[in-house]
Amino acid sequence: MTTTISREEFLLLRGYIHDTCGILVGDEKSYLVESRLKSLMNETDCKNFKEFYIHAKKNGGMGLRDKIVDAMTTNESLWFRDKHPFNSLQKTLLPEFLKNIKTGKKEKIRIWSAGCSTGQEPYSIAMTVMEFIRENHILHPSVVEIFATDISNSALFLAMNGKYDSFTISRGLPEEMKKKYFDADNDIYSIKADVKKFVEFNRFNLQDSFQSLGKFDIIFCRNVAIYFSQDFKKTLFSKYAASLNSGGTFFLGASESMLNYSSAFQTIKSDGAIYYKVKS
Amino acid sequence: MTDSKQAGIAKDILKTIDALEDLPSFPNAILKLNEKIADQGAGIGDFAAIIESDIALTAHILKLVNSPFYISLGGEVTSVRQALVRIGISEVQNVCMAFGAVNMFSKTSERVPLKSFWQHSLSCALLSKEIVAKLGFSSSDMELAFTAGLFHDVGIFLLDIHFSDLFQEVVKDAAKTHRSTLVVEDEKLGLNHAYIAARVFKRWNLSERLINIVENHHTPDRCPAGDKILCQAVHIADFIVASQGAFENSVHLMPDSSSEGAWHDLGLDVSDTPDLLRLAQLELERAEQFLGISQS
Ligand SMILES: C[S@@+](CC[C@H](N)C(=O)[O-])C[C@H]1O[C@@H](n2cnc3c(N)ncnc32)[C@H](O)[C@@H]1O
Ligand SMILES: [Fe+2]
Ligand SMILES: [Fe+2]
Repeated sequence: MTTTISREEFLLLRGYIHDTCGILVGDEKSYLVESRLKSLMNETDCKNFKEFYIHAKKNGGMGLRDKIVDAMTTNESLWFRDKHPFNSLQKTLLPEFLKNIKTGKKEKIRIWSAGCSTGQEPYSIAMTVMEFIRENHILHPSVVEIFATDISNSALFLAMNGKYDSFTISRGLPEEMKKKYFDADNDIYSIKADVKKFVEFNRFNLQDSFQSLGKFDIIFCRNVAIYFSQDFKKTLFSKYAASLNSGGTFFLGASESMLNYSSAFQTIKSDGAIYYKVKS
Repeated sequence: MTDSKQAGIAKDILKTIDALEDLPSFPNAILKLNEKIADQGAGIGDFAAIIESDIALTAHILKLVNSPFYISLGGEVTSVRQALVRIGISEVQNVCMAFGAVNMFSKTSERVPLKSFWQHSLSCALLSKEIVAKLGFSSSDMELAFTAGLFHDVGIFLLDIHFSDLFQEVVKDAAKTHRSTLVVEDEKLGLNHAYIAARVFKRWNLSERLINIVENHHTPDRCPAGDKILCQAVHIADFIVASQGAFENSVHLMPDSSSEGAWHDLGLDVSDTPDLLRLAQLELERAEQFLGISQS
């Protein structure tokens, strides 16, 4: 049995997923496809991926699509993940925007949570904005727009649902935030409507053009690009740079780095936080 | 756990399941009713006669139709015939199926609290039917989706009743490690509730279509082509009701994903989510009414 995937086999399987699911598996995912499909291939007694592809096509897929798409959309997430980005937002970025709004230099703040998964990231951003408003900063909620996207329909459903079980809610969410911003019913915690209304959810594949999305002031794309190839990361980060307003801010996950991928950004280190500003 | 130990457990479970003698059976009147409804020539009088042959069922229907939930449709209802006219044959059929199911499996353990189990199953059934209806499927497909939704998790009951020690371990481990019982069943038992249900349904001579759907309700992408779309509808309905907190067992863990292939094939996406959420609330409420009445 051959359990490594050839280029030709990968392209065949990729074409199949695209035709039957509308999701394009990037080149960078070939090793994932390989590891996910080995067990399925075993079950079917196929000798290699080509044989497996033919078998799958004939038998209506045999769960092939879902296995591949699952591998691509690991959607684990936490509330206030890495903490620092939300501190910087509250202590540095929002005060700057407020100043610009007061002097008439700006009308709106647009924040994009790219790869928002089941909602923890965009709702953490929304709670941060609400905390900022509570600190007596006069900022009308309608001025802040949080645009949240993901490729996974399941993740988006759960995000829009805004309900979490007690384990999921406990992951990273401080007790007082839970009390303030969620309604509890049995073991279920529902995000309150005034937090929810900040966020607009949309399905979006990061491989598509960003042109129709407009410009943003802040972009979060955390723990999403870790699954992408070096080449795709380069393209992706330059697309983000082009989607930011001048002076715009970009956040990566704590374990990720921009190094070697883009020269369009300048690294900012402050109060333990690391983030990126688009160079003007 | 080693693979061989797991394979041994799976083998033992199947041996026991295949030899079970006291399997519950479905109330006769309801089976006859289903047959009559499928028969084009039959009418309201035939349906009423079958239902009236079962006193408990008749009492149940009259009670439900006169409950606050339906009373807005008109005044007091005193006969099954009137009930059929008032809420429609399809709704009466739903009510009968739910009644039959609840009475069939009514042993209980704290691992699978009866009320929430049936709330989960019945709301899944109602929502599956609704999704299939929206897709424009025939009324017999709608009924199949409903039945599959109603029975999709009875494998959990069978595991809980007949293998209570093993299932106790599964539930404990799932709660401790915050993993779904499905995953822990596969890991510890080498099989899961979907498979167990399919195995028993074969012995009951239930239709192959129903068996396919129930067996694959967690893996709809693997369902044989002809039944795949109904299986996907049940899968998504199951995902949606569980994500509203209607859980099938005492491990109160929400699903963290569902089949992307199912969303795609059903033609559903984020733009449908608000509608699906509204519908889910409605069906949960309806299920509660059906069940509240059967338990009082
Ligand atoms: C690990 S989660 C990260 C969630 C959140 N940003 C955080 O840091 O907690 C990664 C998400 O990226 C999404 N994703 C993966 N590939 C994508 C693509 N090509 N386009 C859009 N979203 C994608 C997945 O569906 C998943 O929900
Ligand atoms: Fe299940
Ligand atoms: Fe279920």
